[in-house]
Amino acid sequence: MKTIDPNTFGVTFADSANCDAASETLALSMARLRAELAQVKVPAHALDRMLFATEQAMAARRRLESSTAAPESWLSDLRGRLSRVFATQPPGWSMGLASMAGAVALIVWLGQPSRQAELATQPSRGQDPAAYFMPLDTAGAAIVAVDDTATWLMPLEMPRAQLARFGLPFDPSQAATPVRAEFLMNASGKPVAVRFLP
Amino acid sequence: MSAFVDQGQVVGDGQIMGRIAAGDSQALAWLFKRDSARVMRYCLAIAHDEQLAADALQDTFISLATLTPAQGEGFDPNKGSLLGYLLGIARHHLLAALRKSSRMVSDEWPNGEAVAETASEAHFALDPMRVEVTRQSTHALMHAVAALPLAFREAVVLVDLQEMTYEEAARIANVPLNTLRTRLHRGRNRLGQALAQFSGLD
Repeated sequence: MKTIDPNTFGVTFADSANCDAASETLALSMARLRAELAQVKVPAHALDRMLFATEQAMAARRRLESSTAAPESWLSDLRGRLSRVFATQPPGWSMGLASMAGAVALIVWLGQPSRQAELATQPSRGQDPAAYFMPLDTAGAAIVAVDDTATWLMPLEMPRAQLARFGLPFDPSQAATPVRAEFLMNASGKPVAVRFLP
Repeated sequence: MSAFVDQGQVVGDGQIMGRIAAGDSQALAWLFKRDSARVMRYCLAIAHDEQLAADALQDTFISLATLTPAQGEGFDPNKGSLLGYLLGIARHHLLAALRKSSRMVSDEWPNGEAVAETASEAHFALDPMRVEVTRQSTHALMHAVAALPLAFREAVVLVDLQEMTYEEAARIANVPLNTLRTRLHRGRNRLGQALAQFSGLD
């Protein structure tokens, strides 16, 4: 039986003067396998999953870091986050204006009078509202569907009572405890969907 | 892939890590686009399981996302490439996943050489049915690589498939250079035997 010459130890196959048939076969097969592996692509869903997971991880870290900072209202926190995020967007006055408009729209929209008292007494739906994104309007859902590459997530904490603004029930005794939310924003800075994390 | 450019300045690998550790998700996404395929190939070649490989890939980048600024300084571009640093993290996650899935016996990824040589020959033997189905040397080699003891497999994957230098491969595998060389030699030897068996050279 032919074996690889032990003298080839530490020498790559291609440059070995003593390579025999077995090592030649191995070198050729290795090259083919290398070429085959080079075709392996990261599945598109892996990128989405990773970006989402890392965004969550980064958000968790930011929350941890900010937990030592002086407490402020969640709306102030949102304003600060929006301004920080928009400061990192590509330059362009139209983009800046759209982002600013989106930020204002989100804050105004979140500040509208709520059905809080009414909804607070509604029975639970019996399912976890954190499990899915809720489109904030039909147009928003359409934007997500056709241009998902241009969306990004904004993590946020708000009082649990704010769930009522999204038509979700909450436990009044827990109204003041924070709930974690993620707003799906489009490229213009308009919130198109939201979900609440457990 | 073009370099990461910010405000007209090319950002080097060392600075990229600093930005990621500071919470810059754009830098992280850029790095993912640049290096994820190579990390995926490494994980796939080691684990021979697409799901495990994808999970290890994701865990690798999540690890980066949760680095503190101080931890971000753990990468020194003078000591090795950023890809090598990523593969080192991926290796850690892959090892944990393999252990969890009970697909690695406790002594299969030894710290030294003593155990590696005694790793199961039964694992190395090609399944005749499988070989019959994959009557091509590339596929046979793929299965032979997957059947190597992990210590040998890692050396072969890093040097022969990922085309890394011995020094970098040794750094990623966290073993001395000579240990890496020995593992590589033995791994190649076994692969050569498997291919010879497959192609009827013996």
